[in-house]
Amino acid sequence: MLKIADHTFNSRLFCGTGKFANSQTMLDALHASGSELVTLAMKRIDRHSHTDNLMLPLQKTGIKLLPNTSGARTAKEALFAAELGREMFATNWVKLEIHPDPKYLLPDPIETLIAAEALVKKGFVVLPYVHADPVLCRRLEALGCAAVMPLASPIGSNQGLVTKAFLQIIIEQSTVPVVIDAGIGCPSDATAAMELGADAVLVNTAIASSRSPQQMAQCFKQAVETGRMAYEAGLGQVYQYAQHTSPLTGFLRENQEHQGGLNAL
Amino acid sequence: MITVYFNSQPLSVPADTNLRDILALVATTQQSHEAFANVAAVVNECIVPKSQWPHYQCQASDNIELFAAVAGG
Repeated sequence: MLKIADHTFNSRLFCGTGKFANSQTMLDALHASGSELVTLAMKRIDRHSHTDNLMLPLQKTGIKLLPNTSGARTAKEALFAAELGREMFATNWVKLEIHPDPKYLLPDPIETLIAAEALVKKGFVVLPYVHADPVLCRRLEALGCAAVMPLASPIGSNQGLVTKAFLQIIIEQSTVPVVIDAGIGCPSDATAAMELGADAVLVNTAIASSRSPQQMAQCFKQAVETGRMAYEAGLGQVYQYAQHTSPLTGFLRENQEHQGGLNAL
Repeated sequence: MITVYFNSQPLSVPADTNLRDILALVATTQQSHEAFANVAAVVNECIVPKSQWPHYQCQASDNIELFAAVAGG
């Protein structure tokens, strides 16, 4: 069981709600994923435009909702977004994400650190989205963040575990749950992340943009479970050279010198 | 009548209008009252808790914004 702050999760697959063709497709996929935590963004409502009410059907599922601060470019804006989320979702949980650069959507570490400190002081359960920076993750943990969410690769890029070597260090060092977020492109990426020892993964684009989101969500569910099982079972060591699995001595004759080629026939 | 601003657009309302009245006024046909169960209201960049909506008396030039949850990762 995964525990973040005071909440336990049976599923180690968290999902985003973006990019689905429609609400029903999203709900079907979330159901198939078995996810118990999903992220949502917030937006100003325009007067005459119809805004789908996502909250009502999602609330009926019983899945825990995690508001994000997407759109915030500074710590100050993220604080405001977090307060909005607390009012709107009646939760003190927040996925802190500050990515001012629209091309790569990479998180701003300085603004994130400043915002995280302020939010923790205000009593928020803070899950910061960060680059796979082991030093930053330790600083965020020391501030009192409930988990860290380092990226595998840029948001929505489907590039997979580009930052693998650094994710390994973060997992090794962290005493709070590590949720690998962003860039996970296929189920095998999720398995690989879980095999590294990640506590959970967050997947959105890979599910939502697939031809069959419901089926893909199920694939990710199985992939995460398999990866976690493998991690718990204990993966074998990696060697540079072959390690024999069958006996190499005593075959036919003892102490026979190697003689190859035609002369040996 | 006073003029308030909803998402920066001027809106003429009676002087004794409270925030809940405003939100009912701007609700489109698709946005039923039920849809407002999960929104956050911001007046002059300060969040007004839902419990305070009926008690918040709108002032001329108030800038009122409404935020809702949308899909996101």
